[in-house]
Amino acid sequence: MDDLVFPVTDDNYGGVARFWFAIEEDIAGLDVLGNIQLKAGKTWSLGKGVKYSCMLSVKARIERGGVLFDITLEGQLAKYRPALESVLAKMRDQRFAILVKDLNGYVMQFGRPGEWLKFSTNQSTGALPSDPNGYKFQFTGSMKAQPISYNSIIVDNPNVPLPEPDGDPVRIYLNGLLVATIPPGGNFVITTEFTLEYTILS
Amino acid sequence: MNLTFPVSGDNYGGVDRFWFAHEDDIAGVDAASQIVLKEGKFWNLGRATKYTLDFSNPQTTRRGGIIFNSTLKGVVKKYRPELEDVLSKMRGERFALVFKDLNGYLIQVGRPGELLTFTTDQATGGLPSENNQYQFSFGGQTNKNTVVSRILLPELVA
Repeated sequence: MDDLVFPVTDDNYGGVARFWFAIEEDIAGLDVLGNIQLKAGKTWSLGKGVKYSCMLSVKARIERGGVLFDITLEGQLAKYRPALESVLAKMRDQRFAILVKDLNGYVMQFGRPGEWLKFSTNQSTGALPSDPNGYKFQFTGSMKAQPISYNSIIVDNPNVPLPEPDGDPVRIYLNGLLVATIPPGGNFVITTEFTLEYTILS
Repeated sequence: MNLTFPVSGDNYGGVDRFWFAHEDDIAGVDAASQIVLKEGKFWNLGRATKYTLDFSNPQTTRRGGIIFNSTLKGVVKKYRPELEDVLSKMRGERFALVFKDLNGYLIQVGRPGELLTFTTDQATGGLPSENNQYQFSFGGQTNKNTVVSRILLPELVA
């Protein structure tokens, strides 16, 4: 048995950055490390919730037969739209394996053949114009298998374009003069014979 | 018998650290009820996020007699694969514990046949400011109070 001594020496952010899911029919099996292997030509589907709404919970429960893990990944999706409802309709009550990337960058895998997570939603319009109109979604399931780190490369669905970066443009000033305005996702190249450190303050 | 124990010095709440021994590594108990480990085995050290370790041993009276629910719980921050590896070996296993409270007292919990089972509850939180952590607990229910003072041993001085 190892010691249980794991001090945190750097940042530790709460939350889930994004997740991926694969429906049971697209899954070929597990490799020797226990990582999910998809069937040829299949890819992981990307999932993102409203910023900072996704959270993962893994509760270990001791039963007569051994340890069971109750896994829940939940989050929110804002605004009813027919296209969104169409995707959710295909997912409801289906069984999935999921990969969860936390805000510290670690990727964890849950679900495997015979022990899948089920998807469900809870839609609500709210009553006031200021209330949220959207969905709460969750993947839930119980597993006998220990959760594992995912060590393979995640192949995203190539048919889904990457989301456009959002945010305000950044203005670059040099000695008080505006020299460039960089749009979200843009690059600003500085060529100099010196090694300098730049800090963008706003 | 009198119940008069006025506190004359400091009395800090909380647990400083703990040690745990797997049931397979335990040989038995000696005449002073101290857990004795098998040859070549040792106590593993456990530490948690500062001020999250908490021991409780509530007593309930049932028809059959008195039941003790011993629990040592704490928090370990930040999912890391190497941490998960250690926790996965411990989940569902049974242990004897020795913990040191913040007043410096060593207390032993559990004995052969009446050990504590380890479990965890992982959560990422939703916001970056929320906790990404495990809550862990060693818990067990016994019909005898297995909590005894632990005599200091060299291996527990750390």
